[in-house]
Amino acid sequence: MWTNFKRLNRWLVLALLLGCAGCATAPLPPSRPPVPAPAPIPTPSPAPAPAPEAPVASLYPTESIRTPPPRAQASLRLTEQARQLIAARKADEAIRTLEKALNIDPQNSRSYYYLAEAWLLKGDSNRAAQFNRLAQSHLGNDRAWRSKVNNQKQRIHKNLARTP
Amino acid sequence: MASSNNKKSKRRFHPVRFLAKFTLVTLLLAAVVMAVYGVYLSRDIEKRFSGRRWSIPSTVYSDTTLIYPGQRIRSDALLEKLQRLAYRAVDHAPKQKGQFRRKGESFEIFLNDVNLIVLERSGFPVKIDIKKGTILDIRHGLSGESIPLLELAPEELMLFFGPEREQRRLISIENVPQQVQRAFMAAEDTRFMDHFGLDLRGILRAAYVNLRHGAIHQGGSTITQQLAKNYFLTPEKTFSRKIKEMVLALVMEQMYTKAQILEIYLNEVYFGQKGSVAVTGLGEASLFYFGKPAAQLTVAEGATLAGLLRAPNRDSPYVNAERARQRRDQVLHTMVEQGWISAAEGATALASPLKPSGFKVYGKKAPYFMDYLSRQAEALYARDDLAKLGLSIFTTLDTEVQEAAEKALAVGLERLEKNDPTLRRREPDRRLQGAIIVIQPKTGYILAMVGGRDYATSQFNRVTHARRQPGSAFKPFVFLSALNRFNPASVLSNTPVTYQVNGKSWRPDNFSPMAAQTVTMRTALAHSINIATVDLAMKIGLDEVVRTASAFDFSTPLAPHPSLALGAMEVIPLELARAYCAFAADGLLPVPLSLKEIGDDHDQVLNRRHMAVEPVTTPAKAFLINSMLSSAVAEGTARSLKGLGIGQPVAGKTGTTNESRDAWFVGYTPEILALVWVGFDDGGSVKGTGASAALPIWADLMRRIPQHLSGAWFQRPAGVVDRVICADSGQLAVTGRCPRPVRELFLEELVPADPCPLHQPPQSRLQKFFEEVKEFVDKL
Repeated sequence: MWTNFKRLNRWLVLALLLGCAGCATAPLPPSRPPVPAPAPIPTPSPAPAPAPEAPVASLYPTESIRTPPPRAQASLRLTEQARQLIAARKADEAIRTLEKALNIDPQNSRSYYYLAEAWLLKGDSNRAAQFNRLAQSHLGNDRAWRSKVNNQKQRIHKNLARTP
Repeated sequence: MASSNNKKSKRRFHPVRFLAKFTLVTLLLAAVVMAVYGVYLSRDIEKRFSGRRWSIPSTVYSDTTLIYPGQRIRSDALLEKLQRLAYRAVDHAPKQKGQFRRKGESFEIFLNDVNLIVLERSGFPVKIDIKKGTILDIRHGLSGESIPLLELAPEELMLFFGPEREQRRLISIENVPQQVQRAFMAAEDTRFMDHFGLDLRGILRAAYVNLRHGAIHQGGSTITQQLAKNYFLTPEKTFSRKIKEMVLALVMEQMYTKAQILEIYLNEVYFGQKGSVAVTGLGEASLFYFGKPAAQLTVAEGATLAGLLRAPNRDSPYVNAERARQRRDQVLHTMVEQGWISAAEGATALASPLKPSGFKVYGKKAPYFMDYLSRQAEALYARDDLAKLGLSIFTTLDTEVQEAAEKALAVGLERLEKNDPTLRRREPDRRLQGAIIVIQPKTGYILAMVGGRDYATSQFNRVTHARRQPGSAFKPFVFLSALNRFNPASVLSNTPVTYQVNGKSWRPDNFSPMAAQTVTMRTALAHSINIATVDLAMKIGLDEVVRTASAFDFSTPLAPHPSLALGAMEVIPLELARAYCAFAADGLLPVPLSLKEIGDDHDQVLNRRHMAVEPVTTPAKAFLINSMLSSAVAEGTARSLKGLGIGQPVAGKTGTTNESRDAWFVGYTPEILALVWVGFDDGGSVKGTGASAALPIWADLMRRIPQHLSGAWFQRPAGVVDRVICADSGQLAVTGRCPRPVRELFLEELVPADPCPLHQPPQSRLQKFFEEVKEFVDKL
C-alpha cells in the first residue's frame, strides 16, 4: 500500500514537471501506440503523416441504385393485376403474376405482401407467413404499408392458431 | 294322267326361276350378314370415335416474354423471337395476324391470337418503337393507345412424340372456311354432300377409266371411304379389305353427319414430312405450309393443301412449287365448275402467287433443359401418356437467354482452344467442355441450361449431374459462416501456416505470391486469398463452416477438413448456383423451377408449381456477402469484367481448382444469376483460371441479354450500417489521422467500437497523465 502511495506521489511530481515543460518549446518524443493489436494481427508499419482530410473511399457499390422507373412501373403494373386477381379469388393466377413482377423487379417488395395474401386465399398460412415476414422486412419502414403488413400478420396468426 | 302330267310339270326344274330364288335368298342372306357385320362394325366405330380419336403429342413451351417501354433490348433478338413464333415479315404495314414489318430498330407487328392457359388474347396490331437498344414506346396499332406491358406468346420447344412421330393440331370444322372445305371436296370427292358413303357413279367412272388405260388411274373412293381406310384398316390391297372399307363407309354415313365426317377426315389426313416428323391434319398443315391457322386460309391456300393430298411429298410447294401450283389450279377449276366459287373468285385465286411461309425442321431446342424437364414430367405422367394426351407443358425457359448461353459457351470454348491449341482434342467425346446455368434468384426460375458443348456428342448434363470441385467459388460460404463474429473489415492473417490433417502436413498457398502479412476479410474474399481464408475457417471452426454450408442443401458430402475452406470437395453446378441465389435473394434459398404448369387439351390446369423459398441466412448477412463479392468484381479476381463491357455493379466469384482442372465464375445482380463452368470430363487442365476461362463467357452471355440487366444494386436491408474505418486497422477511422479512411458495411451488432489504434492523435500531456492515473487505479 505504501509502495503504491509513493508511486502516486512520484507521478504527481512528474505531472507538475511535465505541466511546466509544456510551456517550453522543446519537441516531444513520439507517442507509442497505446493499445496493442489483437494477437493474430501483426502491427503494420507506422503510417506516413496523413493528409489533413483524406477522401473517404467506398468499398461497395453505391446503394442508391434503384430499379429504373420503367422497369419498376412494369413490375408494379403486374402487382396491381395480381391484386385484382386476388380480389377475384384467383389465387394461382395471382401468384404466377407476382412471380413475373418479382422477376422484372426484385425490389418490388409489395409483391411479397400480395404473395402472402394469395397464399392465404389458397389456405396455406405457413407460406403466407413466410412471405409476410419478407414484406415486414422490406416494407417495415414504409408507414403506409406497415399497418397493412401487421394486419396481415395478425390474420395469418389467427389462421395458424385455428389450424390443429 | 293329266293330273300326273301336271304334277310332273310342277316338279319340272326351272333354272331361271331357281336362279332368281337363289339370288334372292343369297342376297337376303348377304344383307343379313352385312347388317350383322355393320352392327358389329358400328360398335367398333362408336368405341373408337367416342374415346380419344388421335394420339396428340404433348407440347413443351417456353415462358412468355414481357416487354415494356424503357426496357433495354436487342432489336435482332426481337426479330429472331418473332421468327421463332412463326411471324412472317412483310414489306408493307401488317394487315393480317402473324405479319410484321421491321423499320430500322422498330417493329410493327400484327399479333396472333393466343389461346393458352398461361396467356389468352386476341391478336391486334402493335407498334414497338426502339431507339439505341431501348424500347421508347409500345402503342396499339389502331387506337394509338400506349401499352405499358406487352406479353409475347410462349414458344414451342419440344413435342413428346410417340413411335409414329406425328405432329398434329386438331381443328373444329366450324373454324374451317366453307371454301376451304369445298376445296377438299373438289380435290377428293365432288359428290361428298350427295352420296351415302359410296359413290356408285364415281366407282363406275373409275372402273371405266382403269379399264381403258389397263391400269389403275382412279380410285373412286369417297372421302368417307378414305377415312375408313386410313382410320380403321391396314394398308394392304385385297378384295375383302375393299368390301370391309365399303361397309365401314356405309355404316359411318349412318352414324355421323357429313360435317362430322369431314372434320375427322381433315384432322386425319397426311400432308407430308417436316424433317422426320409427319405433318398430319389440316391444322398442322396450314401452319407448316402457310404459317397461319386453318381459319385464316384463303381459297387459293386451301386449294393448294387439298391439291397435295394425293402425293404430299411430291407435290409439296417446298419440293416442287410448279407442280403444287398446277395441282392447286386443277382444284380451283373444279370448284368453279361445281359452282362453289364464282369465275371471278376463281380467276383471282388462280392469279395469286403460291408462297409457302417457310419452316424450320423440328429440332430439339435447349436439349439439356428438356432432358431435365422430361424427368420431372415423366414423374407425373407415363411416357406413353405424354406422347398421346396432347398436354401443354409450360416451363420457365427464356429462349433468348438459352440461345445467348449456348452461343456464349460455344464461342468461349472455341476462343480458349484458339488461344491455346493444346486444349484442342480431336476425339469429340474428349473435347474441352463447359456448362452454364442461368437462374432468377428470387423465384428460382431456370432461364437457361446448357449442360455441355454438344448434345449430339454427349448427353451428359454437366449442370445437373457433374460433380466437380468448386475451388474458390466455395469461399463465400466460409465467409458467411464467419459473419457472426467477424465483419468485412476484420483483419486476417496472410502468413503461411502448416496444418496437420490426418497425420499429414498441409500448407495452403496463395494462387499468386502476396507480401502483405494481413488482409481484411473483404480483401481476402475479393482477391480470393487462400491463406487468409483458411485462417478464417480455422478461427471460426470447420464444423461451423460445414453447418452453415449444409443449410444450402448441397447433396454432396461436406467434410470438416481445412481444405474445405478452399473448395476441395465436390459440388453439383446446379446446387452451387442455387446456393448463390440465396445471397442474391435476401438469404432465401429458392427451389429451382423449370416446370410451371401442365394443362390438358381442354386448357384445364392439371399440375402447377409455384416459387418456393426457405431462409438459410439473414438478409443482412446476405447483403454483406453481396457487398464483398462486388469488390471481387470491382477490384479483385473478377475485375476484368469491366473491360469486357459489363459496367454495372455485379457480385461475382471466380473459382479455379488444383492444376486448373476446373474454371468457374458465378456472377449475379438482383435480377439474374449465371454460373459458368469450364473443364475436361477426364480432369485435364484447362490451363487457365476462373477469371481467364469462365468469366469471359459469363460477360459474353450478359452482353447478349441486356434486357436482364437493369443496373440496379441490392437495397440495404435493416440491420446493416456503414462506418468510416481505417483501412489499415479495421477500426473506426480517426479524422485527419488515418491515411486511408474507407466506408465499410457492418452488421449493426458488430460495429467496431474503438478508434483506429494505429493513427491516434498525439495525446496531450494532461490526457496522458489521466490515462496513466486510470491505469494505476485499475491496477489497484
